[in-house]
Amino acid sequence: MRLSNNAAVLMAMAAIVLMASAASAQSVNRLSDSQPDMQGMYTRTGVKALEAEPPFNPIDPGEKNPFSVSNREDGLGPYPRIFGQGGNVLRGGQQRAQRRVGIIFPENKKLPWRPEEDVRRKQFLLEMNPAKDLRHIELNSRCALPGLFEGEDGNNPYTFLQPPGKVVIVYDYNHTSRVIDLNRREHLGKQVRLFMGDSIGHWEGNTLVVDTTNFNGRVAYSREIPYLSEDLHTIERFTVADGNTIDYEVTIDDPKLFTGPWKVAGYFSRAAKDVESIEFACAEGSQTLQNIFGAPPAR
Amino acid sequence: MDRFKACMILGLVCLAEIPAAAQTVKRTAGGKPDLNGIWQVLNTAAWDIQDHSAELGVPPGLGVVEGDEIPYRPEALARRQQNRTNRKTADPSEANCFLPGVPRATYMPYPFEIVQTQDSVVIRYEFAHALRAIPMGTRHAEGIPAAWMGDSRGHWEGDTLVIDVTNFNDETWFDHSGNFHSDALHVVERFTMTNADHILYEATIDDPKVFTRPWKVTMPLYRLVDKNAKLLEYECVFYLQEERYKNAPFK
Amino acid sequence: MKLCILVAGLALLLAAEPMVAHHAFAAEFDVNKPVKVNGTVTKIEFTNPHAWLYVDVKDADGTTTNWRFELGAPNALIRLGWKTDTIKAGTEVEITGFRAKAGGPVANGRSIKLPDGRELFSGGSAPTADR
Repeated sequence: MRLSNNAAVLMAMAAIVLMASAASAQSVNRLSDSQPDMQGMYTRTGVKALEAEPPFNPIDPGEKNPFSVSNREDGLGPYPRIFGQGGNVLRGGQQRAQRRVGIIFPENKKLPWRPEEDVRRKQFLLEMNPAKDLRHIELNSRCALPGLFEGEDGNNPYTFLQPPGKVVIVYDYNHTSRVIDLNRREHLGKQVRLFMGDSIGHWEGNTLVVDTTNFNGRVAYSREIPYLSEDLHTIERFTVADGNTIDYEVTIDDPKLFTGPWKVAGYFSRAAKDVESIEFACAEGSQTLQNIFGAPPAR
Repeated sequence: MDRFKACMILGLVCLAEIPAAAQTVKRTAGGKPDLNGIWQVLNTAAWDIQDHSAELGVPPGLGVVEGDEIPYRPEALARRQQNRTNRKTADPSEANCFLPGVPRATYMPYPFEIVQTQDSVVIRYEFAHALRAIPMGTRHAEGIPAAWMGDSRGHWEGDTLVIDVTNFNDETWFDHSGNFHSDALHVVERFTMTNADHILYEATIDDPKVFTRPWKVTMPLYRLVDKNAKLLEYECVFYLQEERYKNAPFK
Repeated sequence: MKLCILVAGLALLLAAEPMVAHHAFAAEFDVNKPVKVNGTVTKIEFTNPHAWLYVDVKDADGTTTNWRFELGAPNALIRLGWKTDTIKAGTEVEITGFRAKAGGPVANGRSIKLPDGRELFSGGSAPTADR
C-alpha cells in the first residue's frame, strides 16, 4: 500500500517527535502534566564561594584571616578543619556527583564591584566584630530568613515540591520556604520587600528558570558579601540532570552594588530515601544576640 | 413534574445524588480533595479560644471550643490563670515571636498555605514563617527532640485529611489567654473540604497531664480567593530584635 | 567502623561547617578569654541552632555555677544517632572553650575530656571537607 505524501510526512514527523521525547524522557521523570519531576529531598553544594582577593573579614574563622583562631600556631580554635559531615549522612554515604561550583562568571572571579560600594562593604565588615550595632550582625545570627544563598547547606537538606502551578522549595534550615509561581508573569509591586524575594518561573526543556525581585536589601550572599541591595534581581536555572542531580546556576544582577551581573554554580544531590526533615527552630533557642550585646533592657 | 424532567427542560446535566461537596471540590490526580491554596480563619480564637467579650484592642468573639469548656485539672487551672495575668510578657508567640504550635498556628490572624502533592503535605504559615512538613502514611519519628510544631503524620480517611501530631515540647500556648499544655500533648486534626472554598477544621486535644479528658476546637477555614493571593513575610523575630536591641551594645 | 562514626559524630558535636557556619564564632565569643572548667554534666540540649552542654562547676569558694557550652549543629548529630543521654548526666568532664563576649558562665565549647582520658575533640587532620 503506498502512502500519500502527506501521510508519509506526518508519520515521519510523528516518529521524530516520539524519538525526541523518548530521548529526554529516558533521563528525566515527568509529572502527569509533563513537567520534569524534581520532587524530593536533596543536599546543596557550591553556590557560596569566595571572590578573587576576598576582603579582610574579622568574623571569618577561615585560613587566610590572620586574626582567625584557626590560624593560631597551637592549632587551637573552635572549628579547626572539621567540616560538616552532615552532607554525607544526608546522602546515605553515597558519593555526590562532581559538578561545577562557585563563581563561574567572571572566570577570573573578580566581581564587578562599583568601587565606592566595595569600599562601603569592606568598612561594613570591619564593623561586624566587635559588632558596632544590631545592623552589623549577620542575618544568620538573628535567625532571619536566609534569602536564596544561605541555608547551612552542610547539615540541612532542601525539599522540592511540585503542587499544581508552583514549585515550592523547603529548606530544613530555619524552617524556610519559597514559592515559585509558574502561572504568574508579573512581579509584585515595588513596595513589597521580602527576604526571600518574589519568584516567578517557567520551564525551558528540563530547566526551571526562576526570576526573582522584590528583595529587601538585607540578605547576604556570603560572609564576605554581607548584603545585597533592594535592586537585586536574580535569574536561577535549575536543570534536572538525572534522577539524582539538579544542576544549579544563578545570575546575580545588583546594579546598585555592581556594574554588571555575575554567575554562580552549584548543584543538588538527592538525599537517602529514609531521611526526614527535622524541625530547626532557630529564634526559640538562640542566645547569640545576648552573648554578643548582653541582655536587652526589660520591657 | 419530576426532577428528571425539570433537569431536561432546563438543560442541566442530571447526575445521581452526589453530595454537594463532592460536586464542587477539585480533586488531585490521586482522587483526593485538592487542598492546595491559601487559607485563613475568620474568628478571634487567636486572642481567646473561648467565648469572650471585647477589651481595648481585643475583638469580642464566640469561642471555638466545643462546649466552650476546657477541662483543666484543678491544679492546672491556677497555671492558666497565671499565664493569663502575665500574658503581655509571658505569651511565647505574642511576646517573643516564638513558633505558635498546633493548633494555634491555624488560627493566628495570618494566612497559611497548604501545599499538597501526591506523597506529602506541607503547610507554610505567614506568621514567623512557621512550617510543618506532614509526611503521608508514615509513622512518627523516634529519638528526635521535642518540637515546637510537633511531629505530624498524615493519612486520608475517605475525603478527610487526618493529621496526627505528637512530640511537642511544653512551650507553646493555645491562644493569647494563657491556655497551655504539657509535653504529653497529642493533637489530631481533621481537614474536610465542605465546598471548593471552605474547609471544616477540627482539632482534638489530648493531654492527660493538664486536662481531665480530650477536648476539641472546630472552625471553618476560608480560601483566599483574591486574584493575587500570596503569602508574604511576617518576620516577627526580626522586628522584635530591631526594637529590643536598637541601643545595643549595652554597657 | 563504629569508632569512625563516633569520632565523626563527636567532631560534629563541637563544630560543623565552619566556613558556612550558622554564625560567626568570633563575633559572639572572645578568643582572648579562653576558659577551662571541670565539672559534672547536668544535661545536653539538642535545641537549634546549637546544642548546649550544661555543666555544674564548683567554684573555689564552694558555690556551684552551672556553665553552658555551645556545641555544633544538633540536627546532624541526631541523624548520626545521638540522643540526649549520649553524654550522660553525672559524667565528670573537663571542658575548654571561649567565653561569650557579653560574659557570664557561657562559652563556646572547644574540647571535652571524658573520665577515661578520651578527648571528644582535639583537632588534627580532618576527613574530606564536605561543603
